[in-house]
Amino acid sequence: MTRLDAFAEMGLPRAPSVDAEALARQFDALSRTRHPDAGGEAAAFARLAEARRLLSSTALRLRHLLELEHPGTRLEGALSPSLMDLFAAVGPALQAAGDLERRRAAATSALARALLAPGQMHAREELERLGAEVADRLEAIDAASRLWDGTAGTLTAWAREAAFLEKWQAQIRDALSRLGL
Amino acid sequence: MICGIDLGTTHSLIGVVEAGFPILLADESGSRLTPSAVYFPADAAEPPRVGAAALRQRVLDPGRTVTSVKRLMGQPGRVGPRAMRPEEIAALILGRLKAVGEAAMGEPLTRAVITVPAYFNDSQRAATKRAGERAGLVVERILNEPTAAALAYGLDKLDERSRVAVYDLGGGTFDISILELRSGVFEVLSTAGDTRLGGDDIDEAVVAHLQARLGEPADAPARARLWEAAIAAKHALSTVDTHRVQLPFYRGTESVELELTRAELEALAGPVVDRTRACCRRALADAGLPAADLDEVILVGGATRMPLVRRVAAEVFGREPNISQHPDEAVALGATIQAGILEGSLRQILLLDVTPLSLGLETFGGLMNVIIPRNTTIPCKAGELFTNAVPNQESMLVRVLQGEREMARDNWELGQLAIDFQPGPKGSARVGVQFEIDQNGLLRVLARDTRTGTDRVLEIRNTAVDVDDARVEEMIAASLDHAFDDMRERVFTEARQKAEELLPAVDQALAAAGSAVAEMDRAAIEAAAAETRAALEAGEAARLKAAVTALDRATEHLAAVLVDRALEESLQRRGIL
Repeated sequence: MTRLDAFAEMGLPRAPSVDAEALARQFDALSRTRHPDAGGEAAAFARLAEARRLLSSTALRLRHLLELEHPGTRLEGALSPSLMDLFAAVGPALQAAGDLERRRAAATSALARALLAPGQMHAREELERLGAEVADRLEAIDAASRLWDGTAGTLTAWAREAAFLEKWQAQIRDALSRLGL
Repeated sequence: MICGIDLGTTHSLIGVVEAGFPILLADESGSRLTPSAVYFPADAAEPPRVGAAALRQRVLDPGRTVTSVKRLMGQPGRVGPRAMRPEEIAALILGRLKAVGEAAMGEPLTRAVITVPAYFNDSQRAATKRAGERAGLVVERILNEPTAAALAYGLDKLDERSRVAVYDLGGGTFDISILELRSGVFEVLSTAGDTRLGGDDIDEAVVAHLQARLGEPADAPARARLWEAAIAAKHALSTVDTHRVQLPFYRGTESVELELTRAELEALAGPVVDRTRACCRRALADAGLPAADLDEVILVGGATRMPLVRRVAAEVFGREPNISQHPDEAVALGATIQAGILEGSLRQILLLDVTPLSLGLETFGGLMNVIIPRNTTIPCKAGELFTNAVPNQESMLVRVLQGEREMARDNWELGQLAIDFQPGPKGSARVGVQFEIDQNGLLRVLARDTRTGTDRVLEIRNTAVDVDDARVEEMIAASLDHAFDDMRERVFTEARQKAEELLPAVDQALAAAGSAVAEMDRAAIEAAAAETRAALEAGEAARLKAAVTALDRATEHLAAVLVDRALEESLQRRGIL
């Protein structure tokens, strides 16, 4: 299988930031000819859908661009201190939420569950706060990347940070949905 | 012509597109709903009867009518008086629908779109497809039920752009799908559900409740009538507040009756309906959307007629649900619309669906290694490279799994894949295996020979085998012998666990609530707690169970007060109150 160039596949310029509206428009227009129900090939549509997946996530998009522009660059490296601080808050918050979820699932009476409610509320607030911070940071990376200087170094740093942020974002969403009430 | 079929747990429907409009077809008695019930006459030479006729026989000749076979699709084992596979029984229902459609249209129908719960796995989908083929239909598409319902909803809104959730609670299955409608493109963003959760579970709870109050029915016909009465009560209580359940000849010549209120029904149905909440929250999280970003929450499925279900849906999504779609017919209409799309008679619509369950392989450590994550747009594919771990290894067996759990054993095993290697030193053989999920949500696995560049379809060998009948009977007999001892012990153990949880919780909650609890309530709770302690001390199972139940009930209000207070404090902290 040839390597996919998601930007070319989608008919969009190669850039670290992609306009979500333009991406949706291109995807819909191309789907209308490439989807098997519209007379296309399953393999062609699968490639298009994969291209969209790569382009709609900041972390995957930056990494994909890095592979296209600077093949062989490695993502490993140190995280910025402020991201380390965020990590130090996300880990315990996720653990606390998971702990509450287990205790709630094990509880057999409404009263025992009610006693967990204050803790659940605190866990929810903390996760929502962290979720908002993660979203802000991802947005900041996206905004900064619109003025990319073309060097591999900046792209690598953004891709690395975005990868962590998106992973936390998914974990926070998951924990919030499990926390419920 | 392609027809659309909704193969439901409780009933099924068929439709076609005529002159650009989807229509549902009625049988000779004018009914569009065919009960998904099959009656097998005692005389093996007599053919089975499907639909309303089968339901009539259930009371006259109990034990020979199979219903809700959809809940068993894709599972090993045989059911019913003629020991058939679930898909063989489903084929009989599909055959009846085909006949209904052909009679209405006056021409043969040989191609079909058949709907399945979105949360059906590969085995369940494949079994449904085989059922269609067995009924003489070319299955052009296996379509997800909530997606079908979204098509029915969106057919007259093709210019609009919106985000909707489809909450589909049927007789046996629950699905929740989040979709984006973009000018004729219907794209599923996420889906979640439970293929063993539906109106049937509510019926079961109502029957158990009625039995607890009325005693055991005397014989099989009385039992069948008890079920019918429970279902009738459930239906009636969607529109009225109290319903009289009357059962003539319940115990021989004795007739019984009692009154059931909507509040009682809701207390019984509550735990079932509550199980839909977590699915809804996960679907939203997977779509990356807060509930507030949705434009509509569309309800379909017969169980969504219940006011309780509507309240739960409204609560989870924070908005009044849209009940514009016919709960029983929307899915069939959607299947018919998809049939029209595939025929080319409805050109402006394009449907993009997702795979509901993560697909993965078992690792050496027994973990699930995800290859295609859930909610990936289909058709899709992913590759994996395999190599020999020891010199001259001839082949390896790989377990293919579907599910969301970390441990392989907790997921559904689709089967095993045998991968053959060329002889050579360790790590020298390389076989690329491609996993493809098609538009039906069905999996195909291809192995590529890297030297010749040719692909070969790998068979996934299903390792689940039918447990033979003798063994089953042995297991049942063994469990019956100890059933009585087990029961008493289990009741005590469960009640003790609950008591040990509740007693400290009561002390803690009373201290926390302080003056929020009225003196009378406090006294009642303390009395119930004292009785629970005494029963625990005495070690009496029945007494303890009664005491714990009373304590649970006495603290219900206290629990609600504590939750409300936690919520209020949280809103205050966030500056919303």
